[in-house]
Amino acid sequence: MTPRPVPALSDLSVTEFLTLSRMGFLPHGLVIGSSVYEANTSQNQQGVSLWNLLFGSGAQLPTIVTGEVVALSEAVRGARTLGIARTRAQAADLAAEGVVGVRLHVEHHVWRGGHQVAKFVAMGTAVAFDHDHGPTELRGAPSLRLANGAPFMSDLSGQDFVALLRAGYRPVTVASGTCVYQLDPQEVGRYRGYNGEIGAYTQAFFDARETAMARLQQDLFSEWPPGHPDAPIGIVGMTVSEVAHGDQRFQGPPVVEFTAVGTAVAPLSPQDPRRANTRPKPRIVVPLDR
Amino acid sequence: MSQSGPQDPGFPADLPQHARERLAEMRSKKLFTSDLSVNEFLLVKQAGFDPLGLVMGTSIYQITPSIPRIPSGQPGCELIDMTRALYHARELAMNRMEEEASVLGADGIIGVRLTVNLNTDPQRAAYEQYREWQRWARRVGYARGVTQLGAAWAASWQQIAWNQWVTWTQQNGWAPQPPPWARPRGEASYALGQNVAEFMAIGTAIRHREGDHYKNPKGKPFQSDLTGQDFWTLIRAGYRPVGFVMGNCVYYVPPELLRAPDQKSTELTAYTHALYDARELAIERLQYEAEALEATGIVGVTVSEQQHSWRAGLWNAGNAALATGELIELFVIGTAVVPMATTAAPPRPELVIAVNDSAVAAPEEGSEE
Repeated sequence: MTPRPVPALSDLSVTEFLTLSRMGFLPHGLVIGSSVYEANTSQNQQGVSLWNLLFGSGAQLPTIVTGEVVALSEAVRGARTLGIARTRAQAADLAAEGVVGVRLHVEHHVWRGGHQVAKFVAMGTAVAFDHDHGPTELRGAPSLRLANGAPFMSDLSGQDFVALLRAGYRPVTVASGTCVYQLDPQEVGRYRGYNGEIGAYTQAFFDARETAMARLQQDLFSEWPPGHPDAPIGIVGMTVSEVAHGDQRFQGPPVVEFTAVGTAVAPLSPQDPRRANTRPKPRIVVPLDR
Repeated sequence: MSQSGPQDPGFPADLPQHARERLAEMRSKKLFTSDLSVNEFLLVKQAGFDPLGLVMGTSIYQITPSIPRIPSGQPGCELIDMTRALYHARELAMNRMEEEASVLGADGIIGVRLTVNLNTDPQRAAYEQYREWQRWARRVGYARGVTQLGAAWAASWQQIAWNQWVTWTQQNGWAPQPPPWARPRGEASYALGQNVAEFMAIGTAIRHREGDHYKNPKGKPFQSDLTGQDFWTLIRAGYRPVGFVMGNCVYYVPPELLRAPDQKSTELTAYTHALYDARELAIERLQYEAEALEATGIVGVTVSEQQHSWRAGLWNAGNAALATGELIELFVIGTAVVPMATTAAPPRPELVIAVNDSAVAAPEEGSEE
């Protein structure tokens, strides 16, 4: 176990730092995990050679089918899992209990030779409870590390993290799910000239977002199944965002990546002194700041 | 729209297969998902509700404008077909979201965000690139006459822009590289087709813990764009939401009405009248919907005036409204509320100085223009 590194880097704002340190949490350092991943898209490209077209059996022109690009989805998922695992390992090296304010970032590049590469970065501040620094009534607080000793991860701000603890919940991990979808550009031509829903596209977008959210749940449950001491009871602050790969505006079929991200939370142990005795009672206030 | 898959009599055929799987898993494993912030989550709990899951619905719709031929001097008119199409697209997305919530056994959906993603129109994308090139060319010193291509911009701009860029990079001794307007952007930039937009509704389904009845008179979960904070305050004050109510109106204003007859400072009476008319029509439809839900009031109404730039042809993708007239959508949406039987006095606000970080606006998906 290494002691708290001093000075510890952090990307906390002043308010976050004060809120955390009042609860006895001090930053242990900025942690960054990254991974660069190459997607094997060869099974997606139907090979068309002149020979096949002229003489071969089963000659076909490449067709773009609306549907998931499984190789890309897997690449993004793999990169993300590695990046998060590295951030977690770095936080463990810093003797941290967990990471708050995790930000996830993915960039896609098509590098020379047509290699589809996903670059993934996860970044946050590692924090740990300091028994000498914290308030006296919290001295005996148990660690927030997961059952296997790994630090927790959360994309919540310092204030949100403290509010969650007071309410009797603790973050477990940053959960994410991804689905990369490709669209057939011919579809819209069938609807030229009148008002109406483009059913195939709606279905594709709807399904892609749902797949991203379903994968998030599946990955979460495969690691922490119900009954596990860290089994999450829910996900807060979930967002579903979409990014187009490359510049698809004038060439190539549209390829869109849908990503669902949120923080999985589990209940705090009942004897944890950080749990507020009464539920925080909201009051209606008029803030005087601008 | 339907798909084969694990069939469950409780699932509407409208939802894709992965939605069924996700919702079934969420129901069986007692996991909730939500896009509520921590504060909102705690307030919703405090108000006596449990979040059940993130629910969404989407609809990709093609809306083709048909500009009417209006005799000179006549006022503008509503384009009923477009009004209906825009309403129907949103309704489809909202209904699908509502179906997902019903599958989860929800009493309502809060924090609903309705977005229209217009980035999917290749014309708009091309026009934005054209504008970006114009700004770049002015900055590096090309004359206005060279960059203003007028109505025929679409045919010629790419070649001119590329030549300028190659000259510029060679002058500076740079390696060949794509020009700034052709570089990939962060936002969704897939081109689905001309006049195609995506309408999406997303929110968090909630249920009352003690099983109080919060469904609307139609027996469906209520929908509302209230935040967790607003929802808590509303419940505390003795009101409950019964649903989204919306009204819209697409109005066409012919070009003669967009400028004054002579170069004088004067009110454009006919234009004013057209906007006024459109707004009143939209609000009237909103009120009609609220009456259908037996609401006593509507809170949080927003009136937005959207110029979707849906045009008939590429020659008209820019601000050519002065030649062909203006196409405006007035969109009004709010949450209908009814009072609950309660005796508690509404809470009194306290004054505080908050030390929170100044609110950082979260980037919204899509764009509501």
